[in-house]
Amino acid sequence: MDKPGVASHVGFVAMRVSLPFDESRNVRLAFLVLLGVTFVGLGHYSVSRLGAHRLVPYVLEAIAMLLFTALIVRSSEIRAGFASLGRKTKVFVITFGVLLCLGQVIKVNGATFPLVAWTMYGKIRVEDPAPLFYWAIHDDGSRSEVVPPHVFPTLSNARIEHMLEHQYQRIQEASPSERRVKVDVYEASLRALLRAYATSRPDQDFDSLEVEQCHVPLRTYQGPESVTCELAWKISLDEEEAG
Amino acid sequence: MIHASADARALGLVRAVVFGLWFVLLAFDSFEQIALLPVEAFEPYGVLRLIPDGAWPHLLTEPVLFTIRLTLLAATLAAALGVRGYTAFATIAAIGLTFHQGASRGFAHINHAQLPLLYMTYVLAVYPAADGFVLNGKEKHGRKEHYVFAMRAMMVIVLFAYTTIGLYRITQSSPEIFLGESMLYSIGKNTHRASFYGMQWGSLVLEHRFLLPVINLGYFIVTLFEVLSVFCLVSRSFRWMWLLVMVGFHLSTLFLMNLLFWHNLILCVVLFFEWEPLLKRLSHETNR
Repeated sequence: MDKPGVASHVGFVAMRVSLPFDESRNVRLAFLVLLGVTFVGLGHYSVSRLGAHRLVPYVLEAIAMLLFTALIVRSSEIRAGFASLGRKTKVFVITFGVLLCLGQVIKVNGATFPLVAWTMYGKIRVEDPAPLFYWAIHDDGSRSEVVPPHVFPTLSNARIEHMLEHQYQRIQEASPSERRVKVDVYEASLRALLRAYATSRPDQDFDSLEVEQCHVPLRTYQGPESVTCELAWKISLDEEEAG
Repeated sequence: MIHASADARALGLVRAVVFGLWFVLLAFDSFEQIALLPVEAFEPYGVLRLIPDGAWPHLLTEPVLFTIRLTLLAATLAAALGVRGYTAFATIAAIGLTFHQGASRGFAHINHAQLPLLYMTYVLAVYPAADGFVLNGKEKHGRKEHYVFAMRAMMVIVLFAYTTIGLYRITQSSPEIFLGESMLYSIGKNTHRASFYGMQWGSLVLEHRFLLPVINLGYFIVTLFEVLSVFCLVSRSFRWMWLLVMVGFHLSTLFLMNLLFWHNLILCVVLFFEWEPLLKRLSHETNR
């Protein structure tokens, strides 16, 4: 059998993509895809240095995604399986596939949920983290740490932490006219957190909840003691009762 | 290609695992707790916007959410067992779980935990997934191609998620993201956060900065495997390598970033193996 050259492989990927079924060809094809992806990455790096349009990386991503979709769709086994489906199931498969891809391309998760974009840990970060910590203040002045995902396990995996951080962030960015509304929402959320925390500790009395914002110095980090914190917010349960 | 010999029992096994996972999640997850949060903090996303704004204060109450949870517990259990009327139970579960996942995200942000599980639920609701591996033992045998296609469709969905993550990272932020301190930021942020698991191993990486290139190299390798995920469909050896890398990756995010997507690990294990020989052997031994 003739050994195909690199050029024919590139053509194979770009023009007549189909999944080959023997292992050695898979490995070669995988290397070609890797090579292509490396070029895409370097291409992005070059255009970003040249100040190209901000949409260029998105176009590159869409092209790469199309290539991968083509790899699957052009597979003879997948096509044969698809052909065997009933009409309704075919409509479901096509609709679901298109929406899945659109969710990734559009990247407006608020609009496309449950078919959303998968972009985690894809942004370049240069700043130091500034996490928030929550402390329940007892009537005697002592304090205990409130871990939000322990209080609301249904919102674990960073969901409740994000919610509270996001609300706090929105206050910092709000115009004076919007600020009052954002503060009310944030304080209502903090009270809900403290109330839920207190419910599971009926033998203890709580006076207030403090929020600390900490600074983690990534470049000069010398252990947890190098993290500095300051009071960012405080709510009192009495205020609500009085109000 | 994987799952060429998939049958009613193999698809039934995946059905039992997926709906069984939901049942466990719902049983231990006090979903109705979100009623304690202020409704003003809630923002419906995507399909949940079809529900009128005025309905949310009535829906986000403890009795309503508890009723929804109970209904979902019943529907997912019935679907997991593959009882009669499976399609109806699976459809109720698929719709209800979309609400369940959307309602909790409406208070927070859209994270991805459980979404592959949700997508698989949609597929299982459409396909004849209760033809085999059912409680009453009465198996039906439809067209083999349907079982094969359903298994591959679910695998493609899971692999699609990994592929798109890798592609986004490479097209949007490479090579800087693998050379700079972005990973250090994520480790620092998630280690120093009041998190569910309370892991502090990330501090070691922050303290010993010479580990950063190792972390970045690992990040790059994981990204390459993510991009190449589609090859899991056709190459057994790559599938094993992929599984090894991804299990390592998911465990490392637990220790370094306090994040664990254990459902994804279970899904990968269930989908990446061809269960037919084992199920056949088990069935023969039971019949003996």
